[in-house]
Amino acid sequence: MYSTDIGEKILEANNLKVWFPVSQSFIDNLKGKAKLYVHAVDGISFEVHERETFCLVGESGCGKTTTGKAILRLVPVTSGSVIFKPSKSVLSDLRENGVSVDSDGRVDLVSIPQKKFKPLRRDLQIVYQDPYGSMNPRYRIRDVVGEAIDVHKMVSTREEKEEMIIRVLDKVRLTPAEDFIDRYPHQLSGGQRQRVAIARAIILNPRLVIADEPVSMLDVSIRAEILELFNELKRDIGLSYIFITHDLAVARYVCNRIAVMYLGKIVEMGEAREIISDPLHPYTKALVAAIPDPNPENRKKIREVPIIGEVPSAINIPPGCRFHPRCVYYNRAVGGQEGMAKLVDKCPKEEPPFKEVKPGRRVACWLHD
Amino acid sequence: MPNLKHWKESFSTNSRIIWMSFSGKTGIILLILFLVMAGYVVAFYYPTITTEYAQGVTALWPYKYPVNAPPCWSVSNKFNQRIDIRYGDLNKTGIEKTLITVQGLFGPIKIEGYKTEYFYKFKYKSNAFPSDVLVSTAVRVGENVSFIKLYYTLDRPDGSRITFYDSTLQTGKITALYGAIERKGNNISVLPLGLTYISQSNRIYSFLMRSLQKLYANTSIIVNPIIDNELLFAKVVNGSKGETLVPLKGDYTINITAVFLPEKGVSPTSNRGSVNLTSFEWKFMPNCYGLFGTDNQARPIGLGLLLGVPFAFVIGFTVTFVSTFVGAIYGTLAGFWKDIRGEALMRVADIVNSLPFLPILIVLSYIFRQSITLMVLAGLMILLFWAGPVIVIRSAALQISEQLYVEAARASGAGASRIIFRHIFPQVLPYTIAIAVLSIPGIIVTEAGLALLGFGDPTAPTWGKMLQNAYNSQAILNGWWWTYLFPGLALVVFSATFLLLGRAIEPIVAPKLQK
Amino acid sequence: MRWLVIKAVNLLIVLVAVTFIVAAMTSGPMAQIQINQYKQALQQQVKNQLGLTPQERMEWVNERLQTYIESQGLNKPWYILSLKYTIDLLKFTDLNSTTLTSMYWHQGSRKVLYIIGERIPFSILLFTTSSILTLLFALPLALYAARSPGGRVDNTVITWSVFGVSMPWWWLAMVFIYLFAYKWHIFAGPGAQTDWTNIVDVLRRMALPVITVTILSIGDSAFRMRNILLDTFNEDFVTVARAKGVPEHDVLMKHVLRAAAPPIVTIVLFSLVLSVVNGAIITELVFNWFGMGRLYWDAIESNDVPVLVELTYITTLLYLLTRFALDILYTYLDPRVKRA
Repeated sequence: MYSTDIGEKILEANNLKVWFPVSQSFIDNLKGKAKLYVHAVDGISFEVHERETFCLVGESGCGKTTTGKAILRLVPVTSGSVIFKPSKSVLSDLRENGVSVDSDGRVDLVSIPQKKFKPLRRDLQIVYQDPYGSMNPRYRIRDVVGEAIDVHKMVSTREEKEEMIIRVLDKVRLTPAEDFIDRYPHQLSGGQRQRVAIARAIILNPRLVIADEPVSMLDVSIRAEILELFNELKRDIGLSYIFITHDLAVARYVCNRIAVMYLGKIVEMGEAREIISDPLHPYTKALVAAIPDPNPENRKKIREVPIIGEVPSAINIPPGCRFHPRCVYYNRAVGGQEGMAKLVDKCPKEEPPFKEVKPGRRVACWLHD
Repeated sequence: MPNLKHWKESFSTNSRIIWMSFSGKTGIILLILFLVMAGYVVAFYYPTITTEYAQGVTALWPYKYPVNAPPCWSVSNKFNQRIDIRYGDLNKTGIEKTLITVQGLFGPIKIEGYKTEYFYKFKYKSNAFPSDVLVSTAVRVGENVSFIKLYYTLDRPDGSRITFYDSTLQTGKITALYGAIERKGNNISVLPLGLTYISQSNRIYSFLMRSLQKLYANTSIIVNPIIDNELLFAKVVNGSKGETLVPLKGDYTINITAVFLPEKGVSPTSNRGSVNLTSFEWKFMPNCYGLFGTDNQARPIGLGLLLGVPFAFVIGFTVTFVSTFVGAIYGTLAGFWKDIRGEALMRVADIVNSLPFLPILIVLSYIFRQSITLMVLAGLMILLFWAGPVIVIRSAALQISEQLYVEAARASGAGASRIIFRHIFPQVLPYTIAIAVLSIPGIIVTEAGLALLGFGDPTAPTWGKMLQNAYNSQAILNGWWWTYLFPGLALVVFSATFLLLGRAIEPIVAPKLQK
Repeated sequence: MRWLVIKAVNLLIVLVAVTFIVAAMTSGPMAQIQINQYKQALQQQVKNQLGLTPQERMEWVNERLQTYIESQGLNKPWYILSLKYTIDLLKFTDLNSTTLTSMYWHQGSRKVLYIIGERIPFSILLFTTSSILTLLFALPLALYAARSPGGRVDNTVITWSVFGVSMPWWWLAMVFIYLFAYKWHIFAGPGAQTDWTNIVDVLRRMALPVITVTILSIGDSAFRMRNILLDTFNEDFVTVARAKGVPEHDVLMKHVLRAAAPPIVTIVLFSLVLSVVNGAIITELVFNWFGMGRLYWDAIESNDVPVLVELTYITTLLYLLTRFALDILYTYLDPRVKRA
């Protein structure tokens, strides 16, 4: 919606994979049974620009949260690369630590050892879905928000730290900040807590904030306020977001570009408006069809959501196009519908390429090959 | 984190909750009581009295307290006050001339000599016998005295006389007729000894035996090698149970008379030519003592109970707090590291936990028995007990380390040590406190058990050592029930205090521990 | 099967660790005792060597002693010695007891394992009897207590357990001996002469120890059982059974007890093992009961290091084996704990 001036590319993920080994019994290991993996993120590529809100949309379990955590190195990455352009001060710290930086001043987040990653946390932050669980119940707001200041030794005196905290609390509209600074999380409402979580994320002026379903646990009445806050912060301090959500209605409100994920892969990516008004992938179509219709006239109609069955497990991913067992088009093709015969062969066998169908729009579907 | 306010708040609400339950209330009251006692001991008795009590310095306690005296409330016929007769209480006559009969070459001859007399009259009023009579008597005979004879008697109201001494003495030195001789440089002092344990080799033994045997000649009373001091003040009564002894009330007189002859030219009033009583003391020890009685070394049990309090605290607190603290940090690490390191830590803790504690503790104490102190014992127990809380703490730490706020801290850049010590450990701490409080009784009881086996700190008067002393003195067989009943009760009350407190704390800090 | 292997390996590790610790701690005195024993034997032998001057005799003894020390490796540093003794213990190599033996037989030496074997049955007799009695009394108590938590029976159980845990067993033993044996002459005291072939005599002698141990363990056992039962009472299947209208008696017998039996059995058996290992030592001493616990005291009193060491090894072994067996039993009893 807010198509502000989008700047240069700051993050580029290439073929990012996160596989978790499934714990197997000792006997199975002895028998030499092949190791099983949960293919949480199965080779995705995307890029994020400055002052852009890039959305990852998908059902729960599709790997969008894991993608976010993988970028922050909170989960181990199996393969791929994430090229990130850090801010100047972080860059100099990284150089001091002996991290290899390319000529454009970019680094690969995946190849940096965990021990040298610390400076990058000033540039990369996260806001969690659960505003209750993400704060230590024994910490006051001062401690929650100020932890990053201590960790990165940003200031030397108590007064400076206090000033920083008050400034950031003002920024997230927790005013008067002095009233909130000594409270405990349990003394705040959900919306207020989420504002604290945002304050914690932005206190060190990061370049990129990963917002992991930040409003899904909030009351509908305060969602809009929080989303507005996100947009405002983007405008004011030039943040970029990777915004993770399962709700296209929310995505429509904040996103510049959307990537739709299904079972660890991006199936469609493009401008937010275009995707919602003209979905190309059958899965996106199903998601768009599920957005509640604001027109009360249409409510009584039973709407048809064009999708079949449940999400399969991420351990046994269907061969070929991973969406085909649930795809209405494929099923129609199997049912003998005209002009779709090639799908019967291709979908279960070959993985569709992630092709650019028009400028800035990519889809992975044999329908659009 | 400087979360003082939070802690204060939770402390006040939690202490209110503890106070509300019956066990919490009892526990807190008892704990405060014990703390006051411990403070009192540390302020007034540590370290001199505690060490003296633990080592049972022989001359010190029987001088002040009766031996093996039961508590007074259990004795119906009491002789409950100590009566002291000191040197200064004696009446002394001057040196008088007297005729001495000496065995000469051709039969007895009479010579003019001198005599000096000390006496003390007292009234015996009690219906009971003293548990013991402590006596010290020593006489100095001058170097230039050529003849000396000493008469040491007790005249009874019925006209009979008991002789303690009736013989000559060596000249030129101090002779202790009865009492323990203590030399400090050139000074010789004589400390009182109980007549009950008079030995056959003592100077007064044969005189006393002879006159007592004569006194009770026509009765069934057996005057045996160990002289029962009550025979001094008894008369025989024929009752339904046959002949029994009851106190003979009335006026008694202790009399010490020296008859002597100084060498020619030496004045009978001079030091060199006369005889002087240098030491005299009689103490009638009560036959019961206080609320708790005394043990076989005359140490008051009640004092021992009091002195034991700080040592129980020291051993209990040192062992539990060190071992639970170590166990808590260890368990936190084991829960935080989800890789091979955590696994290895748990293996080690499992091994330590499956040791049979007491046998190993006994072997270890046996090896260190020469140098055992309270701290060595505590160290040995810590070596074996630290792994106890690890499993509970680890599962709690595991749970906490999977909380979102721990990941959030990591996303902020917090390192492992910050996450462990700022996020996980403070949350685990309450579990630790409950475990620590609940394990104190086990420690105290273990210490007492080791003390009974002889592995106790020689300078610490613990309740366990009192029980050991009772056991070794065959108190059960001898019927000295107070010597082991009260120390054991003290142990029980002390451990129960912490069990009660622990039970009251449990539901607050760790609802899952109750299982 | 995996957990079984892990447990077995664990058992071995603990056993070796304990043995090594004990051996390392006692290797010095152990070696000295071994040397002394051999020296005495040599001095006996040398008397038969006629025609030797005293000087030659001494050389004769010292020569052989030196060869013995070297052949046995007794002059090696402590860690080698400790290793040697550890292996000896693990292999059940029999040691000789001299000082303890002379305490009872005035002279000579006996095999330590034989002495221990002599004492084990006495301990087992005493503590098996009291465990069975404990179970018989504690289970009904626990059932009553769990039926109405917070009731009078429940509070009694809780208080009882507090006292049972916070009290040295041997102290209550002392009090009981005074009251029941010396004051009221109801049971035989620790000094009584016992004819071990006469069952009445044995029972008279056993009564007091068994009563003491039972009384002390009932509280704690009942409290633990009560907790297990309470947990079971709160489980859904019990509520369902009640909702279906199953009579309360059947709920108790058929549903609750069946589900709670495995942990209860394990607890009772485990507390038995614990009491034999930990409680018995001093309790047996006070009762003058000639079991393994009393043997610890005898060994300490007579400074008989070989007995102390081997006894600790055997106790540890028995304790670990029983724990291991209990683990297996528990999985066997409780179908829910089928560990893959």
